[in-house]
Amino acid sequence: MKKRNLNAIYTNPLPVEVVPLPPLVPHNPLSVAYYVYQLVFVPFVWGFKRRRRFTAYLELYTDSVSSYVSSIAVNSYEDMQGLWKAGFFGKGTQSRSDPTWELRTAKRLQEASGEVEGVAPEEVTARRRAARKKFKNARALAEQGIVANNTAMEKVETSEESRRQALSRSEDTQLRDSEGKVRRLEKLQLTFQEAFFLAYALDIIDIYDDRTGDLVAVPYLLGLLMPDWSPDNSFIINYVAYHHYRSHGWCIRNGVKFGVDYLLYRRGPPFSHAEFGVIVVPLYSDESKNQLTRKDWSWSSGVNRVVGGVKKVLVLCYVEVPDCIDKWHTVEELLQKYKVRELVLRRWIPSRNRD
Amino acid sequence: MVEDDAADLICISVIDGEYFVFDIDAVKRVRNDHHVAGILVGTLPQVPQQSVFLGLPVQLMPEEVALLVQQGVARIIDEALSHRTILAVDENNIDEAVAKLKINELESTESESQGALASYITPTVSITDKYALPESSVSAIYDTPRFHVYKYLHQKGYFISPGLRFGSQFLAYPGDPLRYHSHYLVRGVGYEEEFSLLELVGSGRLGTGVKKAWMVGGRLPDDWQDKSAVLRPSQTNDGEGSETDDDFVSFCIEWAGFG
Repeated sequence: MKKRNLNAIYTNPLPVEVVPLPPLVPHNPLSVAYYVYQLVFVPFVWGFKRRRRFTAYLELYTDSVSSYVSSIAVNSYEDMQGLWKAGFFGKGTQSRSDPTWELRTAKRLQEASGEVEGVAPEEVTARRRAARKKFKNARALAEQGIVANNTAMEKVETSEESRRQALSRSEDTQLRDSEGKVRRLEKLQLTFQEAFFLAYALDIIDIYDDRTGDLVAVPYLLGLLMPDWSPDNSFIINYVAYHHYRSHGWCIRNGVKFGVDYLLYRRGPPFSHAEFGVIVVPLYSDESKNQLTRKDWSWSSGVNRVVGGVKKVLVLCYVEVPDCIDKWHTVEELLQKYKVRELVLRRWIPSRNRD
Repeated sequence: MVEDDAADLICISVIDGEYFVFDIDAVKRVRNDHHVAGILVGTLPQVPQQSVFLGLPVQLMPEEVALLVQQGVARIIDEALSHRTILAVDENNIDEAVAKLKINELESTESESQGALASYITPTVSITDKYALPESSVSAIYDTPRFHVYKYLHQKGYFISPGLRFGSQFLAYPGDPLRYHSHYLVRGVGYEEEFSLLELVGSGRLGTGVKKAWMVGGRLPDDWQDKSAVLRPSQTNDGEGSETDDDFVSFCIEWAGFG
């Protein structure tokens, strides 16, 4: 298994292109001319051609009261890969997170002549689990005092593996369209916070309504994503925290598997494990409301134990909620009403921790 | 503590809102007959400078005390009141106070042994009865989800201890804690109470990581319309008295694919 050069694949931390300005030497007219050229000409002319915009489609479901967003998904394969490789946005609908369904299906059906390039994380996991299963079987046999004939077993297993791989399923015929090419069935699903961040903060995505095909503007998108207009609605509080950590350079993924709201990665999931697990807690100016929503010690103990058990640090992100959010003209004004404070909660046992 | 008449209720002392059992016989009875384990919290005189091995008294949870009182096998003694009353003496007359105390004790024991003597009126209550608290002091928790799930598991024969370490309300053992590691991390909720998905996932993960299952359960409200649609058939056919809390619905959650 060739080791991938992660730095070459995941170069940009965000899906924006940065063109640095050249050094300015004031007394040299050539330098001044070049500087002005880069400053004025490039963004408007060259930038238009090179600037990349992504497209996403928004699905709504309507009930008797109003419309709610049910999902925001990116359909085009290039956009999917672009959004994942720069900033790790979204989740592939047919994969664990990295949208690799196409790659894995091509490998399974052995489409391309020769080796298909790239290794999907799902394959790494499958290999690791198979190795662990083999180890457990060997250990069980060893415990019973039987010395296993390793080479014979391995040979049998690999031939079975290849046989299994060569077998394609009967449903595979449905994968191909009329021309015989494999359909692209995978979409990249964006969370509401990610979609709004890409649309509002970075302004690199166009979100279209799935049914009508209209472009959804940012303020209207905000209204659709918020469940109601209360200052502590779940979307805006989570978005404030998301925006806060993205602006500090963290890569943010969902933290449901550890019972937290967000996971913070220094560079991204392929590079290292997450360092922090963030739980977003609204903080009201009215103390009685805070008393109503506060959690007890057993909750804190449980969460700390889960997060500490996977070697992450628990961060409580307190979002100070304003009293009302009726008066604002721009989205920026609305977001400025919120403030963020953090608290790190760590379990320290004097007999075990030496730091 | 003077052990009294044949009706022999277990005395549970309440000190500042915490419940203790001081008598070793009572502790044995509570553990063996009613499978309530409790926690040892007292310092052992032989090894005082450590807190790994502790001795009497045994501390009980409010739910355990409420259940024992509800079943009529225990009663609660207000220790502070009894101490204050007994010790409400003039310090200069200590001898007098001790003599009075001894007479009190003699009275209660003598009257039992010489019940036939007409000159003594057999006291119908013992010294501890004066300071016993009524059932209403703990009945406030009979309606809480925690008590419902505690009672349900207790009737099934589990030993239950506090689950603070694992972020749950209780830990349930299928038998004596000294013989088993616990099976369930228990959380009781109201039948229509909302709890977050993050808590479900986190608790399930925590439980699976320590080889337990996370159990969540709630009692159907009495005015629920169609109970038979929700309960298992064995629960609805049970026509025995109202003491069996069979209107209880519970689920256990474990993570798959671990280990």
